[in-house]
Amino acid sequence: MQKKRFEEELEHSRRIVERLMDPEITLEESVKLYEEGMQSVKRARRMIEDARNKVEKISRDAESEE
Amino acid sequence: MMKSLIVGALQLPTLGMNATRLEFYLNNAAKRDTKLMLFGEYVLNHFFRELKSMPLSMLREQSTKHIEILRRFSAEYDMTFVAPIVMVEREKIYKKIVKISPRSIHYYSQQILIPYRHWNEKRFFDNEAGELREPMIFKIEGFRVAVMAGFELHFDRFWRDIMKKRVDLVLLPTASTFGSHNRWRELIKSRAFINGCYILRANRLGEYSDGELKWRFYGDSMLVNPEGEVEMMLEDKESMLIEPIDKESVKEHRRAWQFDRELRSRGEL
Repeated sequence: MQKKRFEEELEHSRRIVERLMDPEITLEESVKLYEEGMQSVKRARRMIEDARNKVEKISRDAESEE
Repeated sequence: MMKSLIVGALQLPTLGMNATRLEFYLNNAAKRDTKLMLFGEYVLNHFFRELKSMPLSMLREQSTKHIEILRRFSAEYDMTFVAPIVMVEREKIYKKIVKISPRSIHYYSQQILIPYRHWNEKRFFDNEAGELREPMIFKIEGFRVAVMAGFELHFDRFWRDIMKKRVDLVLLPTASTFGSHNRWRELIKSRAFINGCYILRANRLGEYSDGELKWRFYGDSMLVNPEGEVEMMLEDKESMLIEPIDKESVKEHRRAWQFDRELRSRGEL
């Protein structure tokens, strides 16, 4: 579930970057998209951080059981 | 053999993040052996009054991305670019001009900014208002080239440096609007003749609305020779100017009119 949400977030960011590349985009739209994109990147980073914490915890638990 | 240099000016509105349009022009310019390309003001970034609505991080990103693109094209096409750029450094905003060659990158901070109520760059940007220094001057293929921001053309202080350093070509990026066509043409022609140098001006295109008034940036990019004659001028459409300049025209002007010699002999330069 977590993995799917992360991929969705990445896809969302990718689409935003594509739209930002549109030469016809207005400044107002581009600012809105940029802010949306930054939120999306922030959420994706948080997911990576959470996943990393989980892996570290599993490793620690495994070490303490040995 | 006559020494010449092919120079270009891009007359564009603000560029988006997509490099395709730029690549189209630069590819064309490279095929015509262009070595130096000038951009107008507020082409890599939006007009400064529009920047107020942009997050600083987005503005930083925009400039970083454009510098990255120009560095790549500079190496690919063996071309030097001179382009005004807005830089964000430690939460402060600076109006600069970047020179990107295949081997190096240099910045010039605009020294005198427009201070008027309706167009107050001086208040908006954090450029230091210190003692005046000479404009950016560099050499390319035996030609001495100076760069100054459009508004700085009005100040004699910089033109003394142009004459003193025997500059062959002055690059002048502008963002001229309203009905100032004729004044700018006459100013540029006069400065070129009096100082015995070529002037290449790149003026941006595009529109900005402040709610009451529409500001229309009108192009009129031009190359003026040391005799003060317009060699080539673009109209008000998106386009590119490519022209050769030759060293002999500059030398001939100095020999014939002797303006700088008179000043040098009196220790004025």
